Amino acid sequence: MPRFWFSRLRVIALLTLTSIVLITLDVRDSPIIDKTRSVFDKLFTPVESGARTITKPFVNAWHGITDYAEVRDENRRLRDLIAKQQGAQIAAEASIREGQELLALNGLPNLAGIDSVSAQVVGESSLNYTQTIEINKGSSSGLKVGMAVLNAAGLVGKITEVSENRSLVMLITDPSYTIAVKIVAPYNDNGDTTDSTTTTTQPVVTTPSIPGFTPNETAYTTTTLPGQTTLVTIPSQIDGIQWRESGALEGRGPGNEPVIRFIEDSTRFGQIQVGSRVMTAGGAFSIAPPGIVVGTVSRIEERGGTLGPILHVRLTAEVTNLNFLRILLYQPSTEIPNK
Amino acid sequence: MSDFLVYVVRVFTRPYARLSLLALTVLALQTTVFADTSFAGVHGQVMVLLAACCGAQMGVERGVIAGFVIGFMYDLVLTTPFGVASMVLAIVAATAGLSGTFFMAPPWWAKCLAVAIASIVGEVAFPLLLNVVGVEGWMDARVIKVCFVVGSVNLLLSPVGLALVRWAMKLAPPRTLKRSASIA
Repeated sequence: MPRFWFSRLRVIALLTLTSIVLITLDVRDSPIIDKTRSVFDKLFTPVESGARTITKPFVNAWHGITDYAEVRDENRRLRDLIAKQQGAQIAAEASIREGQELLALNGLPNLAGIDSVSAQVVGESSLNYTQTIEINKGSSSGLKVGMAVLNAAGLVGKITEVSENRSLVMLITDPSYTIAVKIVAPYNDNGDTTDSTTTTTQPVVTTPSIPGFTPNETAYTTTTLPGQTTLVTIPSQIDGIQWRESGALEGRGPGNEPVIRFIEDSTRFGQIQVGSRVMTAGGAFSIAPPGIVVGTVSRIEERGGTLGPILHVRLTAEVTNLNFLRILLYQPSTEIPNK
Repeated sequence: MSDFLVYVVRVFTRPYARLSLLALTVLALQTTVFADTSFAGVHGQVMVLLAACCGAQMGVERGVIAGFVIGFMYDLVLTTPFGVASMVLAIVAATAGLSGTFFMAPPWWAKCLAVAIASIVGEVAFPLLLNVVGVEGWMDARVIKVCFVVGSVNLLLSPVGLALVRWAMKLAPPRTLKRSASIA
């Protein structure tokens, strides 16, 4: 065997061994790796900022050339959409406010009671095998690992790394991302509820009280001004909108819709249909509070046996084009240290 | 003060110090301009290009060490498990360095081709190694698109990358037929 082969093999073996040691240290959450990354981050940030400033004209020119037609079409589409949405927004805001009031009265968690921090996206992952973005807020703004990140349209991801003034956000499309979600039946504006086989129109009736609801037996309290009457508007068959199913939403990489798994097969699956709303489920162990909009069911993939179906989800937030984000300063009860 | 400056200048005229500075500059470009731009949804990989150029210019033994160090620097800014990029870029450099075993003095086009092939090997090795360490979900049909785009971009940029590594390492310029004839 030639001498250089021995030397070559020795070098390769040594470097492979070093890589394995590094990977093992990182997988075991060694503080050495975190510290090294943190120190390098501090040293490299000014270099990166300088490079970003210098290369900005080139990046802008590239986007100008490659995205011009797409942006023009999108702009036209968005103008139409805004016109359509303006009417619906007023009705939706009123419904949200009513819903939040009801949740607050019953002592249930809701998004309105959670503080948030706004941040701007300053960078994307340079690797083709991660789905992360960098934002310009960090621990100095109260951000912690695990916090939910959303934009105006819905859930976007979660914080995975935090430095003083920067954080990394793992996008909802990353294959490592998982979150508990609930699937809620679609509910039309005019009170229509639909199922998978037939479409039925159920009239909305106005009643002075919710059927089966006894104020003295629950925590529900309400105050009315003298002379005012409280009217609660509900569909005649409340079961039609109350059902929900839970599952785990998983990302599947860029360009692929996330899927929901771990739904046991049940008779209610007939009710899950394309268009059903997907929202975060919340709970003591979930990193996100309940009620954040995730998307809608776009496709149902049936599986044999007792396995439940796989639901494909069309996200409401467009994760490929993010700018301003909101980070909910929410931690599940299991993560809050005891005083 | 002037002595210190002279010392600093002398340090940065050494080949490996120059290569480190070159790697830092390329890393800055990777995390800014190449992170913000993409072609068909795929980001260009200039860190992979640099590692491959080191392998093609310096041979397997020295190239694999340079590739490992470049990968280590890349690991410091990535969110993937630490050490994966180090190992992948060492593999990339070793693959590119193997071009030297097929030619006595590889011509420029063979080095460019070796850089492109090594880049493709790197783009396959990344999701494979991620899968091994438990980060699943990346080994799908998209890898083919990533390999094609990264391989093509790195093939186009390889003459620049090879020239930069040759400058940093103070290597002799490639021998052309004309020069060889004049030497003879």
